[in-house]
Amino acid sequence: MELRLSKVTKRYAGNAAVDGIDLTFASGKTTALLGPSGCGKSTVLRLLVALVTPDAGEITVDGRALPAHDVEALRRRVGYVIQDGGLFPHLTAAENVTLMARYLRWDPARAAKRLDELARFPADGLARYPNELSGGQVQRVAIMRALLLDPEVLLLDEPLSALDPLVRTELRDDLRAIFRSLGKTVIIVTHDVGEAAHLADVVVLMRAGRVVQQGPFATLASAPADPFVTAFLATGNGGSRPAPETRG
Amino acid sequence: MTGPARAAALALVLAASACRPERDLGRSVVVASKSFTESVILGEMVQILVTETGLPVEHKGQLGGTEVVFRALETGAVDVYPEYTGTLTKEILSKEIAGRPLADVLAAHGLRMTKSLGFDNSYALAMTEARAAALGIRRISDLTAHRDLRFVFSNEVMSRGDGWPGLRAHYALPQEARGMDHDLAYRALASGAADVIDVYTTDAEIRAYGLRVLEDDRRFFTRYDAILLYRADLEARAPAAVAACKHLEGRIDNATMVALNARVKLDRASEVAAASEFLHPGGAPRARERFLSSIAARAVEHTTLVLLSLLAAIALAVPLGIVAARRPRLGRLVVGAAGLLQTIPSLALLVLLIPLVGIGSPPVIAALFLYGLLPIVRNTHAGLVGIPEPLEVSARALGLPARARLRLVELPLALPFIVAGIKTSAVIAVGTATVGALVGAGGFGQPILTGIRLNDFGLILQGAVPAAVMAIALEALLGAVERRVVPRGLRPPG
Repeated sequence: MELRLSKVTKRYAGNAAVDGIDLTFASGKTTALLGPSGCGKSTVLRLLVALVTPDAGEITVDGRALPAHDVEALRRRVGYVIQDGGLFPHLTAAENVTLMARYLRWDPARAAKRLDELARFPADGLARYPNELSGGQVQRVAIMRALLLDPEVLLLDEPLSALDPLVRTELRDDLRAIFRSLGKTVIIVTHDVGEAAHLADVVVLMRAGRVVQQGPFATLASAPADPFVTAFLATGNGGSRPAPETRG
Repeated sequence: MTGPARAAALALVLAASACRPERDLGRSVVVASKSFTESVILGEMVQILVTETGLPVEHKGQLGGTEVVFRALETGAVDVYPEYTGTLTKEILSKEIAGRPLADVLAAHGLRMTKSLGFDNSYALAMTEARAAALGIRRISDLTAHRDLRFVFSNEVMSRGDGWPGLRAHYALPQEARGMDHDLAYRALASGAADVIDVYTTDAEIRAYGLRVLEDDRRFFTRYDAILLYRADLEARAPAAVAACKHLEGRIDNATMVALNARVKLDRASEVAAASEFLHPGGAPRARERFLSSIAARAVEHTTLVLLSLLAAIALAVPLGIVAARRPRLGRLVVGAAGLLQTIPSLALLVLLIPLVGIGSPPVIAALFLYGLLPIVRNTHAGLVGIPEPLEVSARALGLPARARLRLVELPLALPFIVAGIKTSAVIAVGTATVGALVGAGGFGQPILTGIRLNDFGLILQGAVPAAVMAIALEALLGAVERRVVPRGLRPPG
């Protein structure tokens, strides 16, 4: 699936969250949307699954404009994990993962088999409710839920930000393994340079709703387009906090 | 039509058809009485006499106040009940009478009346003998000299033209008066909380409490000759019933009526027994209702009122709550309207509903249904609106269409709120259903009403205690349902 934004602008209360942006996400690649908070990264994800509609510009999926698609069918081809996972508290981990299977009336054996394939998690944990899971487990269940229908694209919004450092490293390595093995188009939103460098084939550095520079991390590091790139990469998060120690 | 709208429409149709008054030509003769002892005794007499003609007959004892019973007669839910000429000329028909004969005015309403039954139950003012003697009060005009006397009058007397407002003007009385149930007023007088109350000239309590009835020296009060008021169509439908009513004409004088009232209020005989003793002196005494079977019957009536109204309220209020959550502007309107309904006093609501749905359980179920809406609508709305935005986004992003989101995510998340709203409505319904006795719906309000009338505390408890137990039990039952249907993930941890 090829996703493309052309001159897309989205304003909230008059302020442009995304400001005339052009982006193309190639099939099978992992892209990191990197930048300080409020730079419009999460809005890009919401635009791609039609949770918000652009005020200007066009979004195309496989060459067709987004409004021409059946939005619900499209969303089932895209796995989207919001920040903090968005698990439903009234459902167990297993029920969260297989919610769409129930909606689509899969027979239970098929749903159980699929749950088994996806399990990256001790099985007893699947019977628990979200308020009984750790932060890392919540993220894993949320990713399992996003992968249930074997989507072509996976969108992850700050999957690691709420986790403590040890769990974060572990899940990050796990994510990289998942991306490699599935070969899907992945877009990951992060404000953490280390994560972007570690996980992504392509890094898109954003600032105030615009793309500052995009390319492999090594290119951004060796040939920064402007001083902001240098500063952001150096401090790791746009200058507000010191760089994380882990950089695998 | 959307799903919730269709469900709401269905609920309305069901409620409407459940509440339609029955009009069946082959039905029994329906006798009613107002909620005071004398009226009930007279009603029992009519029932006995009509039964003896072989016609099927039903007595809706202590159906309600004048307004309720008269309307029930007009709409055909009731065929005959005891009334007083003064009540008709001064209150119910006061605007139409304009010097015309009472019978003509009644005919215009499709009603007729018998001749006087032989007694005049007029209003009078009374004080305790001791207090009246101490202050030297014998006549109403003597009251003007004692402006600190506390007047307590029955609610009817407080508001009607021939009651307190007229009396006050007629005698230029300087005092203020408070309204109270007639039977409670006697207690207030006996306990010293009131100095002057209104009485009826056939009240048993005049003797029992040792009261001095003050002379109406400026002739203010109207005559209240007892008569039986019946529907004109009864003469064609059941002439024998009308003949039975006329059998009572001129047969009961004031002393007899005081004695009959005293049999019930002081000797604790049932109204049926008093009526039967009068009609058949020396006949076999009639048994009172068995205690347990009467509680069981009240419980069935009460439960029916509560459950039917609650189910109807859930059926309409949950869809309304959903609509309210979807459309904020409409939502404010819906929640506001449901709130407005709840501010209508229950008695007023019942009286408003009687012309629409008749008497007995239908108006009570309709009223409880209307009262039950607000807590459920408000909680359904709050439960849905309170769903955190990220969960809403997640549900959309998964590709669930709106209806599936509602079924699989939003309603389950709002469920603890909805169940809490249902619990509130249920408890309100159990308590409010006791007023159903005022319009002939039975239930635990019946012994409470009779107990107040007869000054019988035990009887009041027979209604109040089971009603309280039922409220607690229902809350516990719904709590158990809540634990079953609300998943562990939505309950507070620990």
